[in-house]
Amino acid sequence: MTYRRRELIIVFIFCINICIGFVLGKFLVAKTVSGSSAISFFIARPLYAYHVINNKLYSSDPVERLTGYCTLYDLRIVDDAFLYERYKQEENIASKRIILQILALQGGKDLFHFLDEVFELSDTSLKKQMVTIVKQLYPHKLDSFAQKHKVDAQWIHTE
Amino acid sequence: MKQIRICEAHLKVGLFGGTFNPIHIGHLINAQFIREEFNLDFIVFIPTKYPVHKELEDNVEAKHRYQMVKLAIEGVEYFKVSRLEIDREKPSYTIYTVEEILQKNPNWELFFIIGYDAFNEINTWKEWKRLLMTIDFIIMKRPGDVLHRRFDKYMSRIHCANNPVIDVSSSVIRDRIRSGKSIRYLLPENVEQYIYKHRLYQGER
Repeated sequence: MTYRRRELIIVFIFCINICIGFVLGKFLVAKTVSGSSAISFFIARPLYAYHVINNKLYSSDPVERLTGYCTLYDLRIVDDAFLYERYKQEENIASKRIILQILALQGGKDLFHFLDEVFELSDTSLKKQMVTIVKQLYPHKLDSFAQKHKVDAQWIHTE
Repeated sequence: MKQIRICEAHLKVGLFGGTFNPIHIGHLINAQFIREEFNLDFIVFIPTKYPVHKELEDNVEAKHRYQMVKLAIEGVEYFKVSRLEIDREKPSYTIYTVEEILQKNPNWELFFIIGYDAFNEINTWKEWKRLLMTIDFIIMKRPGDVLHRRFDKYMSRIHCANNPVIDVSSSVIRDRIRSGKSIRYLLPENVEQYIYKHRLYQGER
């Protein structure tokens, strides 16, 4: 193989990587961030984005993590299961509230079950936020949800 | 996760931003009602240095507006005033203020208090979607006011206050001062004295 031909192949592979990154980048970053795949490490385009988001999401600074959650939403790479887990791990109220808001914006199919599961373990502000989400996204399930969790009727009617 | 900070107890804190040019009884009464309605531990008044979205009438320096707020809330333990935006070199974008406050106080639950008109234009603010995800908004509405539908998705973070409608505004106060009319009862007495002592709002427009 001549030196020139090898050079062309390297350029070709690099271009293919960039193209794959554009097409599959967000998906691969989402998979890597949630820990279900590490393939994006091998693709040029998502690597930087992964690095930035990863640093935010795994930072010890709660505000950094909080902006990390927003970035997930901005890039439309929200992984519901990852956020469900994070909701349980996070201790500060601001992070929990932002996670709930992102999940509500995302409107994933398991969200209702998640709310049902964590409602009793959450504090009043979070409970109120959950009731508003159920009211908005699952109005047909609101009555049964309210009954099961003994929701204050005022929350349903005033918020 | 490398390390998760544990903050068991949290405080519910209202952020009341504005030019406060000058602060008046409408601001104070609404703040009082909202604090009670939403069980806020305290409210922080945050005078802006230069408003990003509107012209600052009479060009009253931030130090005067800050001082007037300080006088107005004197002796009220659950009202505080912050120099955060006044001391910032960059423009007063709310998202910076909120993130700065959360950085220092990660266990605070923040509620941004805002008028209905301003809220309906929030989509012109810097990183407004991020802001709506990050904190709660308490909106001071008047009867008949309707929120724009673009905010429907964020309703779990938006709360409407049952505040009294007080038809006093800073612009009315400025106009009354300019035309030599009394401003008694429209703002706290010590603020009134401060305005006259420093000859604020008395020049031509």
